[in-house]
Amino acid sequence: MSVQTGETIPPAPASQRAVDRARHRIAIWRADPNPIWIRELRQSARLTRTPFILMAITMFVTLIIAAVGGVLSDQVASDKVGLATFNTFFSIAFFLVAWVGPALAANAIASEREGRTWEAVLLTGLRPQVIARGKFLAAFTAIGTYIVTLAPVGALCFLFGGVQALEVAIAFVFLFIFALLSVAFGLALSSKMASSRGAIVLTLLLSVPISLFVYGLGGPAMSTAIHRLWAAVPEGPPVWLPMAYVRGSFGFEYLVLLVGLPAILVVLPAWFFYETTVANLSGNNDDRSSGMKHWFAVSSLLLTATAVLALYSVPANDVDDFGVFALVLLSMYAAFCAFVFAGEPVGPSRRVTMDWERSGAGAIRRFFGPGLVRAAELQLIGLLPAFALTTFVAAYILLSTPPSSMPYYTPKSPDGIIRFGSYAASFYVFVVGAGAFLRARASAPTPARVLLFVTMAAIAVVPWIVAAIGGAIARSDEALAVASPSPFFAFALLGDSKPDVVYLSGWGMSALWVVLGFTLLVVAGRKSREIVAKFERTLAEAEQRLAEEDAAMEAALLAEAEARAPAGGEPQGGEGPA
Amino acid sequence: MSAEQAPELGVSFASQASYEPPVSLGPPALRVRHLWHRFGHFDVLRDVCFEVPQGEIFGFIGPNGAGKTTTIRIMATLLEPMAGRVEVDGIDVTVDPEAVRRVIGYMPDHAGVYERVTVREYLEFFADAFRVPSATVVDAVLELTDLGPLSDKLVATMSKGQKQRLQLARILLHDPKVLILDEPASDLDPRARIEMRNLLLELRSLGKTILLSSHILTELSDVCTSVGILERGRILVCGPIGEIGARLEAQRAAQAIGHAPPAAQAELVRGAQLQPGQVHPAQLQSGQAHPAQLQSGQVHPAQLHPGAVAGAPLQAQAPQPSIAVRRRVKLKILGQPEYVASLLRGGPGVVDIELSYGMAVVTIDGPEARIADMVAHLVRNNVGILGVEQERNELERIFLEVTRGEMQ
Ligand SMILES: Nc1ncnc2c1ncn2[C@@H]1O[C@H](COP(=O)(O)OP(=O)(O)OP(=O)(O)O)[C@@H](O)[C@H]1O
Ligand SMILES: [Mg+2]
Repeated sequence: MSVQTGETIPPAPASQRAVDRARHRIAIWRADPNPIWIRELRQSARLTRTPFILMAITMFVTLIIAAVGGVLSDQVASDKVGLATFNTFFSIAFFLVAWVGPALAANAIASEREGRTWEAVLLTGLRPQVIARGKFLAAFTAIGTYIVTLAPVGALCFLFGGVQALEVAIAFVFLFIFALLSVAFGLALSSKMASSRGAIVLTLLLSVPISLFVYGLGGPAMSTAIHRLWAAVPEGPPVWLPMAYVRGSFGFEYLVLLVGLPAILVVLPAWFFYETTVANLSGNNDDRSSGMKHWFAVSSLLLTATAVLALYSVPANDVDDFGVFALVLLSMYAAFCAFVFAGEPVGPSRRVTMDWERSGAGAIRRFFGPGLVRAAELQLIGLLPAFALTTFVAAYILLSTPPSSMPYYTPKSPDGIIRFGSYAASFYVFVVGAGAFLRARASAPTPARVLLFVTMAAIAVVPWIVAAIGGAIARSDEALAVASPSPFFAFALLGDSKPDVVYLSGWGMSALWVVLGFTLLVVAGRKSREIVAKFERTLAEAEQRLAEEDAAMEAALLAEAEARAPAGGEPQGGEGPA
Repeated sequence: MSAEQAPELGVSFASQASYEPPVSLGPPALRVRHLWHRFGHFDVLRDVCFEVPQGEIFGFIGPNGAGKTTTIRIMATLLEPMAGRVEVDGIDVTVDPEAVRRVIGYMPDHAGVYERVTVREYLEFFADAFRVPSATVVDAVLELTDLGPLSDKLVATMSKGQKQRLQLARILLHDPKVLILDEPASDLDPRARIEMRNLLLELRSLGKTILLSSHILTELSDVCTSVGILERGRILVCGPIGEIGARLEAQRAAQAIGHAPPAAQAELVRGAQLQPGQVHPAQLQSGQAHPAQLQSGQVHPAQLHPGAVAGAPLQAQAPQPSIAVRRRVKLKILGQPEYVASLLRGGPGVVDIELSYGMAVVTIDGPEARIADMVAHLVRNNVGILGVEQERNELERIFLEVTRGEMQ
């Protein structure tokens, strides 16, 4: 039940039908809402400045829309005015959500730390997941209020014509989705911060460039690409997505571009932010790894599937370029995850092990548990197939497409992409090995991550500098081979017009990276087993000492009781010869 | 210290026995064993050991920076112990902090409260968070802590003392067995302090075990059944106040009649743990001789046994002949203090007499009846007595005697 709302949980339904059970779930959810969320709602209801801020923002946006509409209305046709105001409104709303959302959320956890109320919440036994969700709901409700107050202004656009009501509605739905992501982002950042001012500044510093980048890439740039696909979608205006849903022609592309891709782009980051928040809210000795590892497993699978599907859906002419593009994206994702997992603990804490034993956890659950060797194995199992599949599917398509199958098709050799994929995968093995190695040596996650970053940056850049100098001196293309340790050398392996020594050094370097990576991994494994063994030894010793002490104390008490027993019988007897 | 005291020792032991807490069933409420903690390269806690039996009010005393808050935060599962074991109600804090959190109520020293909610809303939130099964709990707690009249007041508008009471109300919501209070009275006015004290006694009568840290010793001596004194990360003494005082006295007396050389004595009082060389947790675990064990063999049983856990070993030591209850009595007198001194000197149980203008402070061994005898004796000899006052606060004396006033 909820004491705050005064609701009681309804009794379980008599019938076991799925509908009844679902209804019961909803009833429970309504009767027992997240306590943190309810409290935050109560708190913000008392914040008198909120209505004024909302009013100010609404008036500001209305003025801008009116100005845009007014200026344009005597120059261009009414539907163009509609389109312009539509784009203006939702662009402003996008930035509002992208900047205010994280800032609102950033305050959520940091302010509790700052106000020293956090420990009281922790000690209630609320799970970090519940706290994270409560904080998320609170910030999302707040930003939702902003969107809802802006709704009437947004509806104005559709009065001008040029956009349909459904498109405006879809645009609002996306506004809520962006709000979700930005709130989750802010929460993930603030879960680590101790001061709310610092959290707000940091989130703004990050969310402003990120939102500008997303807006630029996903807005005007993408609208041009989409216009080529579906001419009904106007070219140029940034807010094309709602129109694509209404005006795009339904088919495979529609499903991939407007259903699959957006789902992945929303669910995977949101889930990642959630797991980050939960991990940061959990104690040092709690299981902070499993959630992130589940996320990694699922997102790796989804991304691999997406890459393969996309390879099959692009024209055969573009498969080589697209294959490289997919491999690059995959590598970026892989590098990101390597940094995430460079913070793994050496092994599960005593608390986690005890928990596993109590609940009889199986091998799979333990595999996803804390531990840097497990993390490295998971990374290799999760992403090496992804590299391999993407490379081989691309190569297979290149090989199997008959030259006559389409006009303007020139058969291409799959060698370049195979070399590229092999190099990327080999280097990935090295990154994973190096991450595990550094973590096993470092005392804390941050030094391990910093060292990994520095190492990778050096490996990426230094060979090119050497190669450039060498090339200038030797005046030959073959000096390029000197750059082979850099991961960017993979790009040099594309095409087939380079000297043989370049390709050979590429293969050689790939082999070397694999060997190095696995060696580092083995060393890391040995080191971490050593650390764990040492820890267990000291633990056992301490336990033994405590047990001995217990035994000694018991013996002393017993001896004393014995000494006292005869004394009770005959008063002087116990004293002995004095 | 003559033979004539012998028959009375039994009496004093009987009264000692009544100090003992009710024999508790099950594990001690709090048990700290060989606890070490360090911040950076600085050992904040060094081999802290003590035990609080169920149903006690345990006063945790120590100079600023002694490590009280650190110990308390470890017991409250907010910090991980670096070595040693801490059990709350038999549950290891490292292994199952969730279960520990269910049995403790922890009130931090300088915690905040949500400002923009009312008292009732504040408590309702925590009732929800604690998964308290019924809404009536909030009313009960409001009543227990006398916050009922304030229940609709905004927390932001409350005074510091009221907020402190609100925090106490918060930690009572889930009916914890063990209350851990870090300086609960620090912001309270005298009346509120007395109310707090009564509340603590009431909570104890409800069967709760309470550990509280404080600097105000008079306050503690009124409410605590036992104390532990921590200095520079070490427990110096711990146990029931009367017992500690008696042991200190006994030891001082032993020193006076030359049972032990003073220097060694001082070391023993301060505890086997106060070794000059630090012992590192790693060494502790690697099987080297433990400092407490090292010396415990040399410690005369009558003397303080600081490494010992408060419970069993102290009780085991109780029947030692040199432990006696010793009282200091302030006499306000008319007439010549010297005359009074000459009358009392050599009287039964009189150990020491200090004189000042219009006043004599008599240290006396034995039961309270001796005070009455002494007064009667003075009156018979025509000494005008204006007041007789037993020096109540033993704790202050113990504290000053045991600690060196060093900061860490
Ligand atoms: N987070 C921390 N980082 C580094 N040192 C700390 C930290 N917390 C406490 N200390 C140090 O540990 C020592 C013990 O601190 P603690 O707060 O436990 O003392 P205390 O007995 O509660 O003192 P007080 O009576 O002043 O509250 C102090 O020297 C303090 O400087
Ligand atoms: Mg303190």
